[in-house]
Amino acid sequence: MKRRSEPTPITVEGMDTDLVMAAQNGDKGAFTALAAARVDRFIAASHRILRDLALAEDATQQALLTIWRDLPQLRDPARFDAWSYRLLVRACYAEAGRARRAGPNIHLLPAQEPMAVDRLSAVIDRDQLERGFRRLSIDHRTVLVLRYFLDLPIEGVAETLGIPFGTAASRLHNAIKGLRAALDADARPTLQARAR
Amino acid sequence: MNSDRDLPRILQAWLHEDLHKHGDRVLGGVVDLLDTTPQRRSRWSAWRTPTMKYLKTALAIGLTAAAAAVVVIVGLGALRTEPGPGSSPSASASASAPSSAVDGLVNAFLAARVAGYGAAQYLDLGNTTADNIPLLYATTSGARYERAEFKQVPGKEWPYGWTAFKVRLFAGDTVVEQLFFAGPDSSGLNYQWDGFGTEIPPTAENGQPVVMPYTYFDGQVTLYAAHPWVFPSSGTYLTPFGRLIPQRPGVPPTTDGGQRGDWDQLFLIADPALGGAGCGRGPLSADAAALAQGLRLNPDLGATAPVAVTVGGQPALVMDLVIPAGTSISVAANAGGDLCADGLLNGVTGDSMTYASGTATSRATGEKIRLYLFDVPEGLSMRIFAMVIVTPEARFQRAVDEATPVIDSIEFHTP
Repeated sequence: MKRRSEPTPITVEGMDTDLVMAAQNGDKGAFTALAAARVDRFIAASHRILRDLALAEDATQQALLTIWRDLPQLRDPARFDAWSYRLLVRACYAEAGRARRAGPNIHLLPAQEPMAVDRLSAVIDRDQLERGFRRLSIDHRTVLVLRYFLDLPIEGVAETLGIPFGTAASRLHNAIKGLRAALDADARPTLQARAR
Repeated sequence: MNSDRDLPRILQAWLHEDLHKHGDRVLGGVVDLLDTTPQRRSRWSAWRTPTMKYLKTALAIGLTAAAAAVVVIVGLGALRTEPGPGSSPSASASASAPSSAVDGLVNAFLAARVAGYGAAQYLDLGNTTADNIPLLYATTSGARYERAEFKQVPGKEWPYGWTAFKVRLFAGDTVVEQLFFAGPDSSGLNYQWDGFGTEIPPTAENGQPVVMPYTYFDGQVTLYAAHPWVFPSSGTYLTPFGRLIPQRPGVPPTTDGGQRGDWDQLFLIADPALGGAGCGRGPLSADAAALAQGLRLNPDLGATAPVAVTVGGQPALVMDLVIPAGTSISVAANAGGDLCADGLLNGVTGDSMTYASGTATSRATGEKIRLYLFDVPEGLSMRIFAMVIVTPEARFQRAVDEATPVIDSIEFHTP
């Protein structure tokens, strides 16, 4: 398990900057090196946003090709990672739009009665987190992945999504609140089927 | 232990589990495509050239293609007065200097549209083609554009930090208006088929949203809809459905694709089923009348008596259902927890869904259903076709009124 205690600024330096500039000039080898260093992280991030590995791989491939195509237009090579994350998120939204399945509107309800125990102080297993995470909107999943998987500071989340800092902070807060509500709802007793 | 502080920590740990380590195949696919994916260079450098020089280049595109045409490209930001839909085309070429680099891109795009070719190079089309941009070079009647103008759309926080532009193209007395978007890292202008779900139509002609055809079920069903309806293209959803943009000024943009709570919905369902377990069960009713009778006899559904009507020249049955909010309701689902495409009640299932043995159980939202049932013509792969309006009671009449032209436009086609 990999965790960082401090958020990482989304800039590239030194050798990577050289690779970015070479790739901007059409050097496929340089671009391949940049992509190879990031492809697993891109797939992992998009997998967590989309909750589907095949869609995540498609989004990553599309994002990398868009990065290659538009790289000459990147004005500051040091901003390569911030810029590429933005294109990756955009590719994830596009894949989500193509693959979305009609279903109910799932409205997360706040807990309706005080909980007897703090369920989070008990063990939250992977399945619970998976179900809760799936119930979030893609906007909320994306902001959580940027913050807690890519370890971006809120400023970086805002920059990646192209939204104001306050909006990013608010969206992050609501995403956590929504996940908490989903976990709470999941812990309620199962309802019995009636209409058949 | 403070759970509010713990949840981010627990989430962070979970997100970092099982990192993907097998990107070689994706990387290989990307490398294979590099040779056929040219890098884009020229346009942004053009944006950075002095504006008048760039504008001359943009205008040259149009003037070369149509030497007799007089092209007037005016950024509205520089206009003192704005010509109305009935104003005559200007007889002399004039142009204002673009106020920004993006203005130059929009000007060049509009010049190409007036010229009648080359507009696609100014678009960020993603996986689509310029053919999917409505009325790119002509009005619905086929009239070519004579001039164009644009202005920025203020007052909304568009997704991705994009800026929205409303472009206007004039052909005689006809005015086509469209929304396009540009962002700081855009490779071109972007057209969104749903306009991000605001009160502004993505494409309008003489003030009326442009009606577009939508074909589903492998070409067997076609309907025609316009803003404020948002219908995705075929194949986007397992169960096709349109959404009705709320009726009020200042509707905020959204990218959430159906999870916003104030959408009313119109589902299209082939061979609808009420219950059962698992998917792939096939038709469960002999015909529309049998299905309607079954619904009517179920006391939990609050069903009105079916009424025979003619919809778009097709005989149909129409009835309303109301399942009280909070009623426990089960619909069929597959092993992965996705609701089956034929679920008649999918639209009114609600929060806290649980899955077991091919069913998904939740509590009904209490929304009202207007149901249209059709016995489809012989030769189609389905036997019964349903159009299902789902909306809260308070918005029911507006949703039905707005849905009427869409429902009346229904066409069935034999493969």
